[in-house]
This record gives sequence, C-alpha cells and structure tokens, in this order.
Amino acid sequence: MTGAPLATSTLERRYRAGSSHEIVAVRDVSLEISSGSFVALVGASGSGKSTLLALLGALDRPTSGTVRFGDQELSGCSDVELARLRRRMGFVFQSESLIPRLSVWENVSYPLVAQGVGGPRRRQLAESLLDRLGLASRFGALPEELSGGEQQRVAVARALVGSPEVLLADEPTSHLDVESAERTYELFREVHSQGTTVLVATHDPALVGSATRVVSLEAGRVVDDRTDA
Amino acid sequence: MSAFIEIARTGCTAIGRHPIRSTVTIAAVLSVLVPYLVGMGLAEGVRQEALVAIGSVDGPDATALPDLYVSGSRFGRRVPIRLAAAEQISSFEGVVRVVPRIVGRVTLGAKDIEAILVGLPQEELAEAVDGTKIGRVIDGELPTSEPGGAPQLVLGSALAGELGQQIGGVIPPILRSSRGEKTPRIVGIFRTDSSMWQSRVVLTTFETAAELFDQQGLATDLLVHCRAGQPAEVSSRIVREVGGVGDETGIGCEVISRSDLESLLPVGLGHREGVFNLVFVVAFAVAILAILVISGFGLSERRRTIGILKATGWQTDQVLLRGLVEHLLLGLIGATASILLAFVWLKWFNGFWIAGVFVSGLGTSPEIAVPFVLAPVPALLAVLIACLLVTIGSVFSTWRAAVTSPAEAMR
Repeated sequence: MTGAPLATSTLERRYRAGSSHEIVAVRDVSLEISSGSFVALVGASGSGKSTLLALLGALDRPTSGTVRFGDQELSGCSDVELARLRRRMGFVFQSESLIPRLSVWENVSYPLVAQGVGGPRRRQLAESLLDRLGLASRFGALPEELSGGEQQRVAVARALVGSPEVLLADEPTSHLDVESAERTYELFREVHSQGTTVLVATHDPALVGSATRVVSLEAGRVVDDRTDA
Repeated sequence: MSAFIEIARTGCTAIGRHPIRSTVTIAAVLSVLVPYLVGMGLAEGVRQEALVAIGSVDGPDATALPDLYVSGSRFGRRVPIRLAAAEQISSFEGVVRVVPRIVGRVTLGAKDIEAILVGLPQEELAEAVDGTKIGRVIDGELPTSEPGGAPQLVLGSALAGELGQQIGGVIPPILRSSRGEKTPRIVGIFRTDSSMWQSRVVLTTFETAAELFDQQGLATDLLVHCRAGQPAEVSSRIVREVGGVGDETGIGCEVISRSDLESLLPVGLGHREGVFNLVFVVAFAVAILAILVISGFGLSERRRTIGILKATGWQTDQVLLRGLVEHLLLGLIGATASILLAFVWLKWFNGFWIAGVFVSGLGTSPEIAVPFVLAPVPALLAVLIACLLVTIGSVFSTWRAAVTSPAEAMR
C-alpha cells in the first residue's frame, strides 16, 4: 500500500496558558514525509513531538503555516473533509484513549461504524487484528479489565482497523513492558513493510532503531533530521 | 444510509452502557409526565362525564335528560322558583313533562362533612328504578315519603364511607325545620363504581328535601323535557310568560338550555385544569433544570469519548446523530413508561392524590371509581415533552464537544 505524502510548511502552534502567558509548542517546522517512510520524532518532554503529531494527524489546527496530506491542505478542509482524512490515518495516543464502556472488540471496530461497516464484518476485522496482537482472549473484556500494555495494544489495533495510509503513534511503548513493546515494534515494522507510512513520537531507542528517518525536536523546532536508510 | 443505521444502533446501545445516567433521566421524565398525564386524564374524564350528565354527548340515559333548566331570577342571580310555575309550563305546547327539583348544601356528621342534597318527586325516582340509571347504581332501596316518618336518604358511597354509615343507619339531625327535628335514616347507598357525581350526594324525595330545608312551595329548579326540536320555542315562551309568576315578590325566571350548560362547562373545569397546568409548568421548569444537571453526569468522560470518536474519523454530524438517537430513545422510553404508569395510577389507584384537585370533595384516596380518559393528544404531547426535555439537556453539551478539535476534546 502506498499512501499520500505528508508535508508541513513553516508550521506553528501556540497555546494560551493562563491569561497572559503563551506557549509556542511548534515553531517554523517544515517537513516532507514521503509515503511509505518510517519516521521517528524524538526529543525531550515538551519539545513539541505530540503537538506536531496531532497537527499531522488533523487532530488539531495550526496557528499558522500549512499541513498537506497528498493534494489536500488541511487548514482549508471542512469538518467532513477532515473526518474523511482522519479515516485514512490511524492514531495511537499516549494513554487512556479507549472508550471505557465499550468492550475491546467494540473499541477496535468503532471507527468503522462511521463508515457504515456492519456489525458482523466489524467483529470479524477486530477479531483478526486482536488475534495478531495476542489479545484474542480479551475480546469481550472492558478496558478497565486490561493491563496498561494490553490497553495500548488495543489502541494500536484500533488505529490499524481501517487499513490506514499513515500510522501516527504518540509514545506507543511508554507504558509497555519489554515483551509488549517488542510485539509493538514488530507490528509497526510489519505495517511499514506493507507500505504504510509510520510516524512515531518516541523516547524508545529500540523503536527509533526501526525508523528509516529520525527527526529531532527541541523547544518546538526541528534541530536535526537524519535519514539512516 | 448504512452508516446512519450503524450510528443509530450505537446510539441505542449507549442507553444500556450508562445505566445510572439513563435511569436517573427516565426517573426525571416520569416525575414530570406521570402526574401531568394523570391530571389530563382526570380532566378529560370529568369533562366527558359532565357532558354525558347534561346530555351533550350520548350517554346511557341521554334521552331521559331534561332539555331546559328553569329557575327563579332576582337581581340577576338564580333563586328558587315557585312550584306553581311547573303547572303553567306543563301546559305549553311541546313540553313532555316538568320535574321540580331541590338541590341544596347540607352539613353532616361530627366532622361537618359537606354534601349536596338532591330531592326529586317520588314518582320520578320510581321511574328511574324501572328504567335505569339510579336503579342500577344503588344498593338498598329508593327513599319514600311517609307522613310523620323519618326522612329517608340514599348516600353517595364516598360520603357513607366518611360518615361510617351503612344501610339502616341514622344520621344526627341535619336540619331543624319549623316542624321540629328530624333524624334521617339511610335506605340506600350508591355503589362505588357509579358516577363520580354521586360521591357526595344525598338523594331523597322532593317532599323530604322541602321539609329538611323548610322551603315549602319552592323548587331549586324545574327540569323541562321537550319534544325534539322544540326546546328553543319552549324556552322563549317560558321567559315571556312565566317570568311574571309570583311577580308580587319581584322574582323573574331564568332558563338554561343544554347548549348553555355546554358552554358554561369548560369555564368551571378550565379553572381547575388551569391551576393544575400552572403547577405543571413549575414542575416542567424544575425538570429541565434537573435534566440539565443530570446531563452533566460524566460530562468529562463524554467529552473525551467524543474526542476519540472524532480522532478516529467520525464527523460532527455523526457524533450528534449518535447523541440524538440515544436521547430521543430515552425520551420515548420515558414517555411510554409515563403513559403506562399514568394508566395504572388512574385505573388501579383511582387517581390517588390528584383526583382531589379535579373533583370537589374527594380526598387523597377516592373511594369511588374516578372517571378518566387518556386521550391521544396529551399522550402525544407527553412524548414530545419527554423528547424535548431529554434532548435539550444533552444536545448542547454534545455539540460543544463535537465541534471542538479532537486534540482539545481529549486533553
């Protein structure tokens, strides 16, 4: 699978903190991410990795600058167009991103509801993904019954259920034990090998090692951009 | 279309996933709608019964009801009419028969319970026994007038209950007339399933009533039965010719037809209904506030959920549709449960507590079968109110979360 390339130009995102203080989370970021690449965003906490990922994933709007996904400029998109763009991406959040009152399989398959996929087909797709992630036995469990690692793997399954062109993950292994983290790396490599663009914000050296490109951020700016392979 | 159905399904299942929120919301709807439906059911039942009583709609004895009610009139107020007028009216073309009637208020028992005493000529009571309405609804026998004997009464069932009386019992003197004290004897009791109009009624003969009220030669009114199509003509003639009867006292006459009663009826009932509606408006306002508070339950969880939905490709309108289906369904469940509970309240609990608002003299726990009609309009209104109540409380907060960027909503 080959998806559309992602690109940003002089991207900036400011937040107001309190009545007078303003935080510039991302400043003057211009990046081009070709389709099928595996990019690791690295940097200290507060360097702007998560904000950049949210902007790339159309979960937030920039204060200035542009984000392009293929031919589409995200800031000019309507709500419906943004929703359709998000369906072409899969997002793994840092933590607590499951809907508490839905079972594991329902959480995994919920993105497909908005696309009109029927219950039996959703169940089938969720079952297959959960099986791949070693969670077949937790199929009907509620998120509160899962460990942190299991919850994160369910979140990964949900990000993958729509066969996305781009997978964005915000520190996906930060709450995982070694074995779970290992499974996640393997899964990301497998997804990447199938042509999916993978963008991961991470501190994890093992995951950085899997990336073909490493972008370093500091105080919201790109300070290093290295392609290893 | 398939997305619409799938989203609607998730809206339906969301009710079961939030059992406490759903239960509290339905309880708030019930607390407003059940009393409202009971009140409206009673108001309509009373109206229907009143219309049957005046013969405006077909009832079991519609043909036996009078066409005109003639009373005296002085200074624009209704006063008793002299019995001599009955003979004069009987001779008019188109008049079938004229029945004098005495209706007055009496106070009974140690608790001074107020009741309405109705006196009719004995032959009218006897005719009723052969025909019909009264005969079917009385346990015991009809009153008669025995010269020098104790006044004989038939009591309404609620009244008998309050007085602790049974057939054969006696009531302390209810009135002292110029002929001395009389101790009435109970010869019959209206059955509990009979018309609510008999709940606090005391029925007796015309002669007994005249004696008890010490008003000889007078009637409260004359019930005039006419041939079909002739009441208007008879009415005009009564006003023209009977107005002068007893003119040495300056008493004229007033004629009320069935159509006049029909037009007067809504005024009387409307007053009570209006008071009830006022109370309901207050309850409605409180319920809106309550549901707004309830909708705040788990608001942060809902906001986060909406953020996740949007991050995973749901559109704002799809999020709103999901919320709308969930809350409309909650409203429908609330309305349906309200209609069923209102029916139970009316049918098996006899309009407990609310019936007293609509029917004078009924306590909180009526001993008679109160009339009720659960009409379609209040039922549909209940559905509309329930859906409005529930959706107003939730759609705004859902919309606020849905139009926020997913990153913001999940923060």
